[in-house]
Amino acid sequence: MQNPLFPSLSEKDKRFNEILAGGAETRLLESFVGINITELLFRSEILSGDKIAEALNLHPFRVQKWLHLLSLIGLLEERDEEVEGKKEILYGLSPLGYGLVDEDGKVFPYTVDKILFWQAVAGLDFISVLRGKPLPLAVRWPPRTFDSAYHLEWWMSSTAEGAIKAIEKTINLDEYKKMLDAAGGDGTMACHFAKEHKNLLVTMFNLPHSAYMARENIVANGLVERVFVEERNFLSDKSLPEGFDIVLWSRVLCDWSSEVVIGLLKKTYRSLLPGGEIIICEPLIEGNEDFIIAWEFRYIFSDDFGVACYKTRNEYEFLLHEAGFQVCGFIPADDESIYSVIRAKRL
Amino acid sequence: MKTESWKEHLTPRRRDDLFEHLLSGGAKIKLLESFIDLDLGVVLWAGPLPAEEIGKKLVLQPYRARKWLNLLHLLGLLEKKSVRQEGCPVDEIYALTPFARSLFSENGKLPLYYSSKVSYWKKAAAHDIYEALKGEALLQIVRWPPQTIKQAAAYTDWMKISADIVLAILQKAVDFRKYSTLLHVAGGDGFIAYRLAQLYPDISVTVFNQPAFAYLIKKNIEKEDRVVNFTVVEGDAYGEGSLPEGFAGILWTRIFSDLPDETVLQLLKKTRKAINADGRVIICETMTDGNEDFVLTCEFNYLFTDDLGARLFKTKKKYESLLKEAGFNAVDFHEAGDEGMYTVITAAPA
Repeated sequence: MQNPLFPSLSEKDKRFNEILAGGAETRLLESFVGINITELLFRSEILSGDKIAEALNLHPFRVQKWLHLLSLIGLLEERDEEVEGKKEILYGLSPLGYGLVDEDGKVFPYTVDKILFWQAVAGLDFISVLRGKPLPLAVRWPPRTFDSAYHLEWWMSSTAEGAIKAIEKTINLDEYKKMLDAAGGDGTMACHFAKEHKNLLVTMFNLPHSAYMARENIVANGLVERVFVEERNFLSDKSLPEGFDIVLWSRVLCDWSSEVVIGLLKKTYRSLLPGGEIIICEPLIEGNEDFIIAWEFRYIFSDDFGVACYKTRNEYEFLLHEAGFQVCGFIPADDESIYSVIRAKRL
Repeated sequence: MKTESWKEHLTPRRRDDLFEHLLSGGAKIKLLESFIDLDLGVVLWAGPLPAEEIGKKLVLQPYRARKWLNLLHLLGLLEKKSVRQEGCPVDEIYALTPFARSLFSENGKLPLYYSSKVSYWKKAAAHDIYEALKGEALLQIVRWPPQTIKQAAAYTDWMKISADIVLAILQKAVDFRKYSTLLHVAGGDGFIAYRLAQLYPDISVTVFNQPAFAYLIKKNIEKEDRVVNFTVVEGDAYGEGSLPEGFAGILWTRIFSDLPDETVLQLLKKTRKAINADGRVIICETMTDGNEDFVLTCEFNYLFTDDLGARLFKTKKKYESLLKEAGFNAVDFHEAGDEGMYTVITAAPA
């Protein structure tokens, strides 16, 4: 009799095949972006395999297989049509394919960047890396140059909209007066909250390069009276700025292990006024499994990043409790973004 | 559809999830490969171990080993228990999940069926997809039809790994006692046909295959107890000729999913000619429906094999339509279940 804890033969095969198929999926995604098929299909909307092979100068037989594979993974749609009395298979971008490109049919730079990050580590001998091989390509933390800080903040501001919406759906910021946006990027979120909530004074802190970008943003937005910047390093500084009724940690704690996060939460406790609230806005493991595997895999190649940085809701709630907070709200990620929001009160 | 209209079909979150799924695939396969190559199944077979000890046994850099083990946990291959001190995790203890244990044999080693799949993937992954698409000459991953007896033997060895599963599903799906004569076309090394002949002594079973395979079948049955109801006929189902005629049942297993629709249609038309008026054609194949990941991996490997065509795996609906075009009506479906990924379709002459 089969052990009830063990998967059936089919289930086991399915799970094994799912992992195995991942290799083909990523290779195909890379080729979809690398061969400029998006621009061609964006212009033409729908084309036969022969026409695509001709336009992109590809092998006519193999391109048929490739296009079918891109359809199997959902980047293209294929359909049988009669063209001049002859049955042909035509290809166009799928909704997912369209969702990845701009108004010229070019894949979004942010999407290309993610693929480039993967490619930077994919070619390394993984087992040698696990044995300690030096990592010349590692992402460094904190960023070593202005350019690398600028790149990081470009990423964070490009993806800020989802986090802003998640926070504003969870909490009425009109009810607060003094907010601290901890490690608040280039000030994109701080400026947005100050603009939308006229009662709010926002302080943000960050490392010097990012603090400079934030100052430029504040001036450009005309918010010098309401958004303030401090230069701080949350890892090495003993404390955070103090006297706030709300402290926001958005898209920071998921890059640090629990050992580091508990220290940051204890510092946050001291920066809040009694009864003040901490807001954590992060992608949780639950529901974001693929996203998290891709990121944590890349962190193997960056010794500056910790072990098991992404966390479950339970882990965050446990750490909050350990730091002296009482959890008072949770809003899971919805259709708009990967971000969940946890609210907790300083006891 | 232009720019923003994709939002009518997908939410931004769903779009991002689908993208991340594709992107994370590369990491997943690297993790699986490392899990196998480092024999972690053997290390953990006897029971759970702390991360530190696993790192020592496998001679890994301790910090990166902890990240790797956490990822294998996220992938569903390891169970993780954190040991905390003052609220902080200080060590992790890892064990194989039931899924991981189920993949291995008793010694923690991966059976040939799974390790071969990984080997095939590695062969495909070694190719530069851009150069292949531009027409670079390829070292074909598999050859079809096999060019030598050795290639034919390698092919039948691979097919034999899962032949027991096919046989079990066929027996569940088909009442073979209803057939007096059965033709198994392109029946590999004859394993399935021979077992059916042993199991049902009242059926006269004929296996029909190309000379290289027919030779292997004859060689194989020399080792078996002789049965009188088993015959080997040499021939080429794919060539100009017809199939042997006068059979109550004609069986096709694991052939059509390697052939394009046009070829399958021709073979079904030949089957229609060869079958008795009240006979049944029995098809046992992996359908695309429900086996998307398996199909994707196979078709991706075929990208680097010019001997095999495009769009080989078919949906159940496609089989129905091909059968209809060849003059059959599908009369029974035995869907793939817990026993394996094969669906059995039985069809009668229209």
